[in-house]
Amino acid sequence: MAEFIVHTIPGSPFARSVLATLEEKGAPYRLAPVVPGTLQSPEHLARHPFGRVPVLQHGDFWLYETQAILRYLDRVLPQQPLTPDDARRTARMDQAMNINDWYLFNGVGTVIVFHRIIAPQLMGRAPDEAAIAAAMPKARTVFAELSRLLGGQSFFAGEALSLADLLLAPAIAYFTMTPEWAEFGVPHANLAAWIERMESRPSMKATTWERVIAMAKAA
Amino acid sequence: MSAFTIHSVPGSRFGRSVLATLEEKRVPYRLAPLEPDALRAPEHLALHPFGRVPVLEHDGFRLYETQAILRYLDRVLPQPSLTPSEARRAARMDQVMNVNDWYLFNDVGVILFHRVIRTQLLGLAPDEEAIKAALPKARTVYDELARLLGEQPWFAGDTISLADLMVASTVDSCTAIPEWNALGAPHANLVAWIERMQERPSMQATTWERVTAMAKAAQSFYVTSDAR
Repeated sequence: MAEFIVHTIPGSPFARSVLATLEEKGAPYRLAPVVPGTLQSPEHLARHPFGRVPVLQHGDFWLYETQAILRYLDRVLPQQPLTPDDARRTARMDQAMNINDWYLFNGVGTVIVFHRIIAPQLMGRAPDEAAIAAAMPKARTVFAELSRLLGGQSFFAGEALSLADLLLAPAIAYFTMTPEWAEFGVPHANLAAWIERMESRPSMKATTWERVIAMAKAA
Repeated sequence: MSAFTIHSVPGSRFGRSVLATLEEKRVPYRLAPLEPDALRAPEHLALHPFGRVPVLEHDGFRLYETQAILRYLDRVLPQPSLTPSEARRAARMDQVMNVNDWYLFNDVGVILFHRVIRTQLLGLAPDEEAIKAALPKARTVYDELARLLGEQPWFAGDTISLADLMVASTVDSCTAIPEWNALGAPHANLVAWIERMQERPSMQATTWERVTAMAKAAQSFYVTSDAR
């Protein structure tokens, strides 16, 4: 099988989902670092016309969109499947993946994680407290719904890890670094226990921001 | 197989993708119509905490998020299959479904909002400046859809897939607005594809007019049964 190459910027939660999925599969891969600030360059737009990351290169097959990449990896690397075989469990996996994209990322992660972590650490800007406050009602709804869907299960699609956990965990790992986590995690003990379970997995430990920066430097 | 109930607002493009998929599977279903201003009502938020449509109910199982609903229908109604068995074709289907959600909905949806929703439902004039500002990104989306379709009859190859049913409802709406000339018309492959889609009974059975008629039929039933 051809080598998996993941084009990304270190720090991208979506790319971490892809890298962690490759780690779960035990598949060798190579990181092709994209320099921040070059997402709109002709070279990167040829890989991803909307100028985002990650992009997967597998032989002559190029694929962008994280959900599509995760599902592709689970099809071509079927050992230790990350998709349940029951239709309703799979539907919960698919639903949680779309909640990640539509609600957790848009208007919640793009505001709270951006202003608490990205803007201060990468851009040297103070967090916009008013923007964070405005995003809190939607954020509370998202975390309450994720907690409801997780329920008493170990993982989002049941007792086995699935692509939904690997898509959500890198995003939620960022929230645990913000003071707002006290409002999201503490009232939802099941969610707090789930992210601790996820962060203790070798796949997540191998793909922290620091580890991905080290991979990028090595590349 | 017990009945499928779809909670939706007539005119919802995502709702139409679900209804057209049920039509492709040739199974009976029931539309539970919502007024647009009922999306934030407590009864609807109990079905969908983010106040959107569609929501599927099937034999005690409730599911929102259109991609999840389409994939679920294709699993519990396996004939005819709407997911390719080959990994790379399936990946193209998945990619196009997400191009729909991330880019077509946001970057082209703003133009449809001004041309269709504002004028037809809210009785307001379209904001021409906003439409003009949205055109470059919308063009990128259409260029990319045309590239991904290429010479194939359907987005995932030689057979129709969930991607076609997801994207067609938005592209069909675009064919009715003047911006189609700049967005879709320059791409002969996309024009031929949407014409193929529009000819399908599944798309003809789920036009805005047909879904409005289904909604009226459902509402008159509720009114009749509520009458004392």
